[in-house]
Amino acid sequence: MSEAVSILPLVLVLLPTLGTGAVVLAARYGQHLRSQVTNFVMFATFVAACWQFYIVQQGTELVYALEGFMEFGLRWRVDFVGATFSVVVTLVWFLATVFARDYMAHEHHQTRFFAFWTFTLGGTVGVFVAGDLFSLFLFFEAMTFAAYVLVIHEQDRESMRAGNVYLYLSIAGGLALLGVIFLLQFVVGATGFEPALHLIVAKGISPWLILVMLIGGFGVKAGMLPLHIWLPKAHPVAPAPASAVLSAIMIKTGAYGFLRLLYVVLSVPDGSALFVYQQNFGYLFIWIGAVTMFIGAIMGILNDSMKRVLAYSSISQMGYILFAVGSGVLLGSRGAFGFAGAWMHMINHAFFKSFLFLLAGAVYLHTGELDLNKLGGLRRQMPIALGFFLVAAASITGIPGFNGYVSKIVIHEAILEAYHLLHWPSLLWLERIFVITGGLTAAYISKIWLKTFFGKPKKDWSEVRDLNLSHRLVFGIYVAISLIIGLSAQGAVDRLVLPAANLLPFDQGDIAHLGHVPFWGRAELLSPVTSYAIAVAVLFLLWKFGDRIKVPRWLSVEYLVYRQVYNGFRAGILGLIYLAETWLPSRISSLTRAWRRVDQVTQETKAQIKRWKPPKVELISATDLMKKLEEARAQEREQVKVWRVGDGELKRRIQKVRQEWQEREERLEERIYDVVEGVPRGEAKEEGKKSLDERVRELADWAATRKFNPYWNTKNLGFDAWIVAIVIALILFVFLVLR
Amino acid sequence: MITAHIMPLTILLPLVGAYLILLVGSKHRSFARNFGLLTTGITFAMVCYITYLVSNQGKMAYYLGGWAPPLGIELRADPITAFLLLTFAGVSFFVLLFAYDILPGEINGKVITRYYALYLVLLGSLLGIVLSNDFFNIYVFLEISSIAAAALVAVNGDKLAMEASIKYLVMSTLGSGTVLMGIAGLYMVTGYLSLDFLAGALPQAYASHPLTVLMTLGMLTVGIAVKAALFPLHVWLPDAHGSAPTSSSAILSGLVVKVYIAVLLKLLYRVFPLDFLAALPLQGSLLVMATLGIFIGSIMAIRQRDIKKMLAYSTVAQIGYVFLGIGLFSEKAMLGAVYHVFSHAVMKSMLFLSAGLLIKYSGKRTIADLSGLGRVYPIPMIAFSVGALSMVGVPPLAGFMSKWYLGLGALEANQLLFLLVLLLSSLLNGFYYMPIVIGGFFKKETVEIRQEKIPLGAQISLLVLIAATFFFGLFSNIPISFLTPTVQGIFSAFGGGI
Repeated sequence: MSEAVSILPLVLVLLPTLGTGAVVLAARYGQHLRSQVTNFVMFATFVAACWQFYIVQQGTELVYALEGFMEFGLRWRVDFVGATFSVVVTLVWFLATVFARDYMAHEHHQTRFFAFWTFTLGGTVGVFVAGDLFSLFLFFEAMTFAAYVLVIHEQDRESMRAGNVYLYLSIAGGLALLGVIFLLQFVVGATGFEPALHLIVAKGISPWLILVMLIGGFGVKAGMLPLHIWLPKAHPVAPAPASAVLSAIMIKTGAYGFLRLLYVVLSVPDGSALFVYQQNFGYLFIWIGAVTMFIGAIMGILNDSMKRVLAYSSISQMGYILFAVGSGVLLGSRGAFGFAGAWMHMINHAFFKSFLFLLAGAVYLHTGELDLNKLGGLRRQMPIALGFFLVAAASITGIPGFNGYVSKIVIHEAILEAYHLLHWPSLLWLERIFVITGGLTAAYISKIWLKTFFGKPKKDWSEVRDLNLSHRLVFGIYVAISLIIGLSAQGAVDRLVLPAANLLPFDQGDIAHLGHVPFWGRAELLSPVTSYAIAVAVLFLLWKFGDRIKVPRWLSVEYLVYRQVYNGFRAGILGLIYLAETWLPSRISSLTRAWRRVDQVTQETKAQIKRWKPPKVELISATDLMKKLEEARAQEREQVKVWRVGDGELKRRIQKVRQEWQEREERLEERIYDVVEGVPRGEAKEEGKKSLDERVRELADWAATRKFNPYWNTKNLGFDAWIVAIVIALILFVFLVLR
Repeated sequence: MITAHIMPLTILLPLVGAYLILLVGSKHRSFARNFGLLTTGITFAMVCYITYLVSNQGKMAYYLGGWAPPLGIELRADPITAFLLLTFAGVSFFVLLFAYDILPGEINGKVITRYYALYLVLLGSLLGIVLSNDFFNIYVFLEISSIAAAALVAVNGDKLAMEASIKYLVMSTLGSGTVLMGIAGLYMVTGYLSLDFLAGALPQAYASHPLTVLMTLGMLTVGIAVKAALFPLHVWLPDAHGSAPTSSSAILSGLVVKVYIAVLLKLLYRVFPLDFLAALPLQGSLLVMATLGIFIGSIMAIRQRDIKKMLAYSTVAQIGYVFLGIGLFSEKAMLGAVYHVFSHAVMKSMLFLSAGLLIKYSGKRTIADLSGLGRVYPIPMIAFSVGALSMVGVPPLAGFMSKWYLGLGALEANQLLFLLVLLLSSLLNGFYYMPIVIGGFFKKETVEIRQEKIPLGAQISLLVLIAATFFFGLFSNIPISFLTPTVQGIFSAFGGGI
């Protein structure tokens, strides 16, 4: 494979990036010029991509580097895979642009949309022509942030929320990818696409860490379960052309990243001691793919908005690709079929998914409705649209002669090959999941066109007109592509897959085998029958029991995973905040706080004692009492002579005086308690309460005027506490050092 | 003549300028503004010249009054110092340019003259700290800077600012006191104050008085940590930076906090030998504090409703990054720390300045009320967005490069955990910065926005800061290649990593 330095990849990226400026400028001179400039930029990019493909398919790799850009240099390296997918990207983008002109005609913020639309293409195409992971990351991030504006174009509540989910997950994914770049840069010293697994292990870094970060980075974009949650939210809310490129092209950047990283960077030759890592990665990916495709398809069946169904369908189809990637990685050098399946399905899905989304957009454009339960009976008004829809449906469900068929057969061969080589029983189960998912795919796609074009009209569609000419042209091109790939199945594999597979060290026997895939064998030709049989059964069940099926909220990934993670995270953060704001300062300042409390109590007591008036009781001291008693006795003794007073009478009187004295003393004591405790009891209750209220109000007023939070937290912590903190820090330091 | 005496002149120029402003400015109002800007501009130019000289000669030394150390005071410029000088002088010039038309609307007309004088004093002391190679001189400038900074917070005289300023003053005085004790301890055991002589005499002093040396190291570290707002000694920062006028916040958060880090760098790498430090648990405690600071600062920032408070807490987190870089004791991390001092100075001053404009035009400080401003005032909002994205670490902005070096440094030091800390905290940065950007551009206004023309000076300064953020992300090799030999020098003596 020869290399040639060429400016073409740079041009490919710069055309749309600088074209953004041209679009904005042209918008000043009217809508017409703007859309012409946009079309021109798209077409020029497409032509550049075709030219590049023409050069590359002759067996040269194009390289270009801007040395000194952010120290590492920005590198381009275009091999067959990159060149082919650049053509796919630019072609789909161009078709969607042509479609968008009519679709966006009545939308707001059109210039903003087209500017970011053009810029996003620059980032996206850059991902596929990037020469190392770092350059790829730069383009990836540019694409992510530019596409945010496409997602939230409507700027209503729903799209803003979807945009938030998209943005934060993407930032997280970008950072995970950055982690991979850090590790590769550290281990290899560069981030090029070269085998590095042995170096990583030699440095003592677990390859699983890299894999997890990788899944975080590319998995978010690829809509991999359970990182897919942004996708069914973000893709439906964007305008139809944007949904088309998001779903058809942008999620492929994730798959492309997996292709590069898993097949090249994290790969080792067969028989190496590290091959077990690669095998485990592959097996994991098959399962992830299987779960993703199955759940995606189920969710597709259960949803009722056309674009949401299609978004879940994208998840499901990405599951196919990951499934194929996994089965290729699992087999190492024997994995040519897995790679071929993934690669072929990436191309095919790009075409038929954008086709479907644009069709959904066309239906929405003419009817203003996307809810399948409100559509119906459009076959009279939109027969041409129905025709196109049937082609797209045939394509995605893998009917022979249409493009989806080609890749589905190859993927099926791949999983069977894995089973034949390894004889793991689980692989057979995976194959069954694959077949069943094919049936579910047929079910949800049939559900869309049945509910849209057949059945009773739910609304008056008499105003609805069929597709206009430019849309017919766009869809015509899609039909042509689908038929060309589908009818010359082996030819497509020979031209598109074999050169790509030859880039990797695959077993030559397998590659030769790829040249003779039994596309027209009996079992293969009958596979759609199985699919549609399952689809009929599912649709029957759905028609019979569909109303009763409600996916419970607690079953969703959001609830099962993210909510729990979020709750845990939130609890952790709240705990940390509690520690930092309340617990730590309170520990540190407990000493000063105790002093303050003592001081406060003393002050209050003093004040209350000052306010305290003696109760209006006559105090009689004990001596007085004794004196009185003596007097009484003396009197009695004197009075004995006059009138005898009985012993009992005397005792009674003494008792009375004593009782009185005791009562008074108790009241006195009670009063003292009232004062000291500050908690009023008995008669003093009402009065005390009032003063307490007043005091609280005073405190609040004071706090308000001072803007001072009466509670402790780090912001308003007193200095004394922090002096204590510094001293403690010093002491700790010294003790730590001296030990 | 100027070439020979450029270093003391650079320090003296703003200090003398401050007195001139006070003398003349009390009669002529506009004199302060023009002369202050002029002085800062000339200082900036002189600092550029110093950098040029340093890049040619490698190192510059100047003995004040011709007295060689240990008797005299030495000024010293090496690439790291020159880089910090450039950061300080450049950012303070552009902050002042921003303030030219904005400041009169923000503070009382009577105190403008004093404000400019204080600002120049602060700038002079910052440059002095960075250039001095003598501990006592550093201490004197530290005190000047903390008093000037506290006054810059309180300049408006409202209750909140007064309270914050007093808190700031007390805390930083505590910090300087601790630093002074540390310096005194070092002087006690070695008899020197010049950094070079200290470094020479230290091994012997350590042999005879190990306890005292360790104690002084602890004193110095803790004192500097208070002033540089390392968690958990950051308490004064959010109040002080949150309630000061815009230009004060910008320079306080962007520069003043960083100058103490410059002192710590000098201390750790000029005085205490690295293998000596590595034997102490200093590294562990620095890393733990830095990590906690990063997370708690970010989380507190997420909780804030007030944009300036949020930015202030973000500073706490970013200071954590710098300490992380210093504490990792590896070449790349050290580069990352120095680079982050610079890039954070640019980004944070840009964020504070643009936030100041947004607050001015919306009349609200709460984040929710800043929606929709991007459509009316694109330049401040774009500046804020660039700063925010740079904080999150989006390439090709300057913030990405410092994170890149910090991350590689963490790997170099075999501390994989801190790479994850770095990545996770970047996500947290996204959580508190992105809502403002999104709201600013894509949400409807919640308050009535004043329609005014942004003053030219403010526009220019924001545009320059945006350009700097891009330039030093795209062409980071220029400063990095300037810094690398010095940093390598530090580590080659140390034996190449731990």
